[in-house]
Amino acid sequence: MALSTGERDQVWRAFMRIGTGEATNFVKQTVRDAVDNADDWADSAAASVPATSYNAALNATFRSNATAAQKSLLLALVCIVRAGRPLPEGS
Amino acid sequence: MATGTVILPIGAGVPPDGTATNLAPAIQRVKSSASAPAPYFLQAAFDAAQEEHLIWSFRMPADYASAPVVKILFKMASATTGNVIMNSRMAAITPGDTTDADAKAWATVNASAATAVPATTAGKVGEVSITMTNADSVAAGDFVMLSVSRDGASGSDTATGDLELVSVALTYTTT
Repeated sequence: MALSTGERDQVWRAFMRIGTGEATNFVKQTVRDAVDNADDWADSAAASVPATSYNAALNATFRSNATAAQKSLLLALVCIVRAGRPLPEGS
Repeated sequence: MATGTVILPIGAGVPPDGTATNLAPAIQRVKSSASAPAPYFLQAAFDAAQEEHLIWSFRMPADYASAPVVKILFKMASATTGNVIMNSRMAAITPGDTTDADAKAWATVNASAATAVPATTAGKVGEVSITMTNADSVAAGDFVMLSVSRDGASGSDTATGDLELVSVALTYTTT
């Protein structure tokens, strides 16, 4: 089941807190949109093999500017919250 | 008439108690990655999605006349694009007046313009100035409290990740 808006906000805040150490050439809204993209992709992947890859599901700005590690971190955070595990940010 | 400066060291800043709308930035000791002996400094890490405050208190210098401006030096933890919005609030109490310092409230908030973060490399230092239009009628000799915060919840604050505050000063026109 897709994350709630509050849970997606939680992932967004956690990504911005944890995802340091690498330059981020994108703005907050791009990250928030990418959270939606990642959760929607995880939702589709939970039901069947998705038609698009994870990378292709991300918005173009995030896809072209985020590093592989940042994309992995985003998906990991989405999956942690989807697994019902709390993040320090709270929802 | 010249420009006076009150230096407000990060280590002298008072963090709020962390209750609702009294959030505090993390104070971090930073070690340069340069070869030893490395430079160290303190920074205050302001969240990207909520407003956190750091507060200083001091006596306004005797040569204060007017035009207080808060000067902030900062860097970003990771962002190399986007804007930040900084806020500053002041509360001033003149010795001998009837104000209860234990119940003193801030004057209206002063906001910076949306300021672009340094491009290309996170860690480059940028500057934000906040003209203190609302300075609570501060005068020379007053007991002053001054807060600095990042308006992370503002839609105009678009830069991702923490803002790392490394230096704060209050400048003013002298008598």
